[in-house]
Amino acid sequence: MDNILLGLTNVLTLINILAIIGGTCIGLFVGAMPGLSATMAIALLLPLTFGLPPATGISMLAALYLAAMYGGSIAAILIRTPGTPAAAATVLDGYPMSQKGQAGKALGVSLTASLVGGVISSIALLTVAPILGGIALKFGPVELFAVAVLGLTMIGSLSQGSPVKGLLAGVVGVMIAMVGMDAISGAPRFTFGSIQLYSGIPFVVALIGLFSIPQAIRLIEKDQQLIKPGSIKDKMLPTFKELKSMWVTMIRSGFIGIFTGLIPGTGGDTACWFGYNEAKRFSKHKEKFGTGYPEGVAAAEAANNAVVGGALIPTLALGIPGSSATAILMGGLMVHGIMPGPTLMTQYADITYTLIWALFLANFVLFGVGLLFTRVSVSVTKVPNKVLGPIIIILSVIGAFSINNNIYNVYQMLLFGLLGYLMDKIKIPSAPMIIGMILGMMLDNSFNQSLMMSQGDYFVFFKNPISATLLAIAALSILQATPLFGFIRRKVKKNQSTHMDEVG
Amino acid sequence: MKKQFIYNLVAATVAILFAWIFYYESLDLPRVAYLFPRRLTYLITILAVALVIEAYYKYRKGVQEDQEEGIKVLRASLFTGSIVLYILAIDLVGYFITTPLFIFGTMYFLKSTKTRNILFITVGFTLFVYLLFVRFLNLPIPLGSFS
Repeated sequence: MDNILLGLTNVLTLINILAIIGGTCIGLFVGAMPGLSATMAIALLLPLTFGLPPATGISMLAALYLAAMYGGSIAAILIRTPGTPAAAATVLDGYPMSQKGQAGKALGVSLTASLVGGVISSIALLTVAPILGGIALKFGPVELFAVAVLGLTMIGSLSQGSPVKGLLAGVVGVMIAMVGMDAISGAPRFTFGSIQLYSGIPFVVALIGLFSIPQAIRLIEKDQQLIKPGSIKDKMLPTFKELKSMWVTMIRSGFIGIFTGLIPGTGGDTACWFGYNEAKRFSKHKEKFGTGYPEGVAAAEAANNAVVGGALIPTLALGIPGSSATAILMGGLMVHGIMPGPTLMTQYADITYTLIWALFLANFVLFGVGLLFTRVSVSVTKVPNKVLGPIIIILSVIGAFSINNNIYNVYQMLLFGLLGYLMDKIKIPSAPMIIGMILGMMLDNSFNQSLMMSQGDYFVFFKNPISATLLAIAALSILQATPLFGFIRRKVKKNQSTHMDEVG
Repeated sequence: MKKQFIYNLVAATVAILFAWIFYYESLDLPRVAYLFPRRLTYLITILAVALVIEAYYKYRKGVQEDQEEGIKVLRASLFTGSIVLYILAIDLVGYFITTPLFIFGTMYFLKSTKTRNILFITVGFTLFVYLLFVRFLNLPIPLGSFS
């Protein structure tokens, strides 16, 4: 309770409030640009936080992340192009509303749903994270190893396309994290004779490269069709009657968003479709979805904003990032010398609880900023991709250099950027690689410590009930992605239909 | 489809090579330092083989992965080349000389907007970066031989 109050007191200082407002404004504009994703925006703006106190800097980035989720709906509603992948489902009803001259109403519904979804998820974060953190504090190396394995397999196996590629990227990421001095023996590992590699590869550098350079190249490799955005002529705020008809949908989508955010590897892009589909399934007016129905916008937007709090729960309580965006927030903490993990809720309680309250406050700031600046932010949807591309590169260079004041990091960033671009072309996801780099040291240390404790007995991971359960879930998450599981599923279905026929 | 299979095959080969290089490097390490990484090299090799099997299975079944269309390969290659040159030049002549050249050069080549606007963006953005990162945030910026 003391920590919760401490966080609340911290967040209400002038510098933190200004940082939240600043982050919200940047997030709103960045989210509205169809070429920029929330994840990349956080990676590029990470250097902005270097000169700020850790709690202030991270609060600013969290506010930016939240606001970018709403910002994505502006382009989705006005030009039928989601500003961020999380706003993909918003297009379905948002754009038709704008075509009917209800752009303001669509944006108002989106803003209100974002507020509801965001507040629900902030409350969940404030209540669930400390409980989970308390449990995690009792974890020893065996359980920590299992938690990290679960995080990695989940994000790898849930990768779109091929789970094998996701898992491969994740394990390669863990391998990259092994570069540098070994924490236990002090021996330099995989440095290939380079002194620059003794301290390892800073994962923020890799992260900036993997998320920014490929995106910058992607923006200019295709011709862009500039669409004139629709204008906002009507009122933004929905009436009480309209709100009353949508509140169940918003709350349901809020919970869907939290749940989706909790699962590593799934984010706003999954949550918006999940929320939208469930709203349609429960609705009495299914036929209205897709024709410019405000409830469709509300469902998608409440879900994607609720993901932010949900994804932060495993990040803060266990040190396992729920999404690539929260991985960058973790990177922000690491730049300030704070090692994420179960101790985050106790040892660094002042920073962690300030961040949680900052997220809560950011929802209300976003509502205000959204009402004031949404009309202005329409202009940024017109920024050509060919202008954004070079600017992304320039910001990436500053970000990579300022981490250690070393040009070598810029070269590393470039290498990771080119690698990321190639991976993108072969459809290998880069998010599992980043998560692997974050979890690498935790996996290595806990693996060695567990084996030392058990005197080299590998069954130690299966003798412990918590670890055995977590590893079983990890194995299941891999199995469900294999063709074998598909075969079993088909077989069970066939048996069921045969049984039904017999009964019939 | 054959192209996708070859790409996946190349990716798997690179992954196996990567794993073997790391395995070779681990030969001189003390036990506690190589124990975990060596298991990772086995895992990478297994997953790379699984990738080849999966790619072959998809190739035989005729499963089509999402194809991107309308990619201007020459434009993308030249832009990528300019990024490499820009980053290499930073260490020689410094950030504040190479950056305006990079912005103007790439935007002019890409025909991003009118020349007047490109000039305005070049000057404005360089100034913005200087004021925000150097003057306000006191962040280090590479100055090359001028440092």
